Amino acid sequence: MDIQLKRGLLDICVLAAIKNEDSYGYQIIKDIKPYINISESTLYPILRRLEEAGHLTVRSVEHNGRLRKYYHITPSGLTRLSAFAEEWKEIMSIYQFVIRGTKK
Amino acid sequence: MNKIEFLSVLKKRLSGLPQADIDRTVDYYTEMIDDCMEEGMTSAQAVARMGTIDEIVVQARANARYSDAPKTVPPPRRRMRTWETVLLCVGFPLWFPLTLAAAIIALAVVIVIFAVYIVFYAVDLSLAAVAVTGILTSPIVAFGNGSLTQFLLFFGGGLVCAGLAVPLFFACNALTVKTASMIKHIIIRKRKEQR
Repeated sequence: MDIQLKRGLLDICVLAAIKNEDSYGYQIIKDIKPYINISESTLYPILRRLEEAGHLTVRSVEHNGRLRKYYHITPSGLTRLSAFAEEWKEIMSIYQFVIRGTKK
Repeated sequence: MNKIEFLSVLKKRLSGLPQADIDRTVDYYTEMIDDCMEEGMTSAQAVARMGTIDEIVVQARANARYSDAPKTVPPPRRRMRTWETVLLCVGFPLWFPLTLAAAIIALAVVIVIFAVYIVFYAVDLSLAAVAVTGILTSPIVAFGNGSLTQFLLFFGGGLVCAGLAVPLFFACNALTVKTASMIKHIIIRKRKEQR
């Protein structure tokens, strides 16, 4: 897959993974992996980027005597997700055209 | 490599980055390894999943550079040291008259420059006045005295003055504009230098 495209999709997948409930790094990777390949070292800059963009917030929760960071999607992150859904409707129609070609 | 070794090498390799970036990166990988081990992996297996330290360091440096982009913060105002204040007070009888004299000289230079222009304009105005008077009064003089010589003298003198006044006026204007723009340039350059 094109690197730029994958980068954009990974951002969206991470936001989707925390859309319904707050989640932590390891769980996010487990949720995304069936759909798109992601490693621990790939997730880290994505989380940072999304946090800096204001799409998610972080809070530390105590778990088994240590701290675990939970990521929470913000309204801006939700907007980003719905914008993605709209964009992809358009891309899917282009995809249909590419597969089908022009009608004669 | 086990968890402790991995984290200690990572910490060392990240040195030079802002402390907040180091802590954040180390915290993230600590949490990840702990979560992997909680799922039943050994310490070595968990570390192997994190990828190479080289890769992590490159990423951390790239991200740190973003957050540490130089911001345009005005330099903090320096407080005057005690010896500087004392020197300023003791030297007052010396530096104050000197500064005042320099300011007065600068003002005098400006006044002299403007005086030259005022003189030029005054000369031009008198030439114009003589020209108008000469030309207008020449017929009166001619009819009053009946002298052709006096008429020619007044009329010719008027024309000569008019001939001098017109180019002098344009020359004065050009010179004033040039000097004004020169002064403007000097002031603007000084302001830029101060910034």
